[in-house]
Amino acid sequence: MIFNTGAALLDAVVLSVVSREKEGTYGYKITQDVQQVISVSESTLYPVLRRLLKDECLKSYDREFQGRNRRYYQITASGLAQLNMYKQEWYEYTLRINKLFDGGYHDE
Amino acid sequence: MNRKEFIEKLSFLLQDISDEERHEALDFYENYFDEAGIENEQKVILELKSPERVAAIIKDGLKGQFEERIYAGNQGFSNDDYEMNYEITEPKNQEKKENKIFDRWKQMDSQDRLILVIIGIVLCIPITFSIFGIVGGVFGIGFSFVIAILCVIFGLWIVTFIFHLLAVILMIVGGITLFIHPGAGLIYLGAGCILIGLGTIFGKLATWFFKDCIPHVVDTVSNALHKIFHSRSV
Repeated sequence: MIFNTGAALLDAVVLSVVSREKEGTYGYKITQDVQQVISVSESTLYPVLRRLLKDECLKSYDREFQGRNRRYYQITASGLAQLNMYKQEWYEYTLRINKLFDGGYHDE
Repeated sequence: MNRKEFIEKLSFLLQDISDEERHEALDFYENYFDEAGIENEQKVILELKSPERVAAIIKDGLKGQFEERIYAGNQGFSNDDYEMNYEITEPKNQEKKENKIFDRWKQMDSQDRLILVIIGIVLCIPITFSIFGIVGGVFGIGFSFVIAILCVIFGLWIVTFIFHLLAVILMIVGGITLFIHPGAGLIYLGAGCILIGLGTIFGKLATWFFKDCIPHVVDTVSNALHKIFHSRSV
């Protein structure tokens, strides 16, 4: 069973994962964290992160780690606003769907 | 496939996007391998599936098409188009076809090459033996020819020697017999003379062989060889 939700939900999940780290987090860890919640192909995350950077929902910076550069992703103010909007949408959407599934037939 | 090959293939497949985007993408995956650690290298490659698939996803992401194909369900996010054979094949050029055998040789590892060389040697053994056989045969014919000539010459000398020896014996016997049985003695003397004559003929024949025939044959052969090898340079 598959629902077509477009990219919005994956954006929301990624933004949520990144927002949990105040100092920012890096590509591999984001993928691992997202995969703990939902199964998502490793190659799917790159285009999502790239677009979120372009839309300025995320910002990135490089920091040295064990003699090499590690790219960190950090949520921006507009990213946070976007995430809150997604959350709100999700709550309302799932609430209505759940209501229909669980009690919709008995109401009225 | 290892990490290096994966990244190289991915880099090759991303040639048609801008340098900046290519570097960004390659950096991301280089970083990804670094973070996963060398012990997870194969696991990451297995999950990424193929450089072709990753390249296709990156390119669709640039065009803004990728997101439209994402589906979310109880299995998580999936993108059906990329689960199937979404592959970009390498352009095949004519040059490659021409060097097919050479390319295949280059692609082999050293063990396969060794096996191929051994098979080649084994296949060549009958040919090698037959070459040896032919060379040996030619040499044998030449050798027996020389021996035969030597035998004829020495044979002639021996026959000459024996004839002369017999002639002398017959002459002596004939000389003695002449006083007892004059007829028989004359026959013995006659036979001795015939043998001297025959012996002389064989002796002459042997001498002719040595003095005239062999030098003549050698001259002819050497002249012929001289003509074959030096005619052009003269």
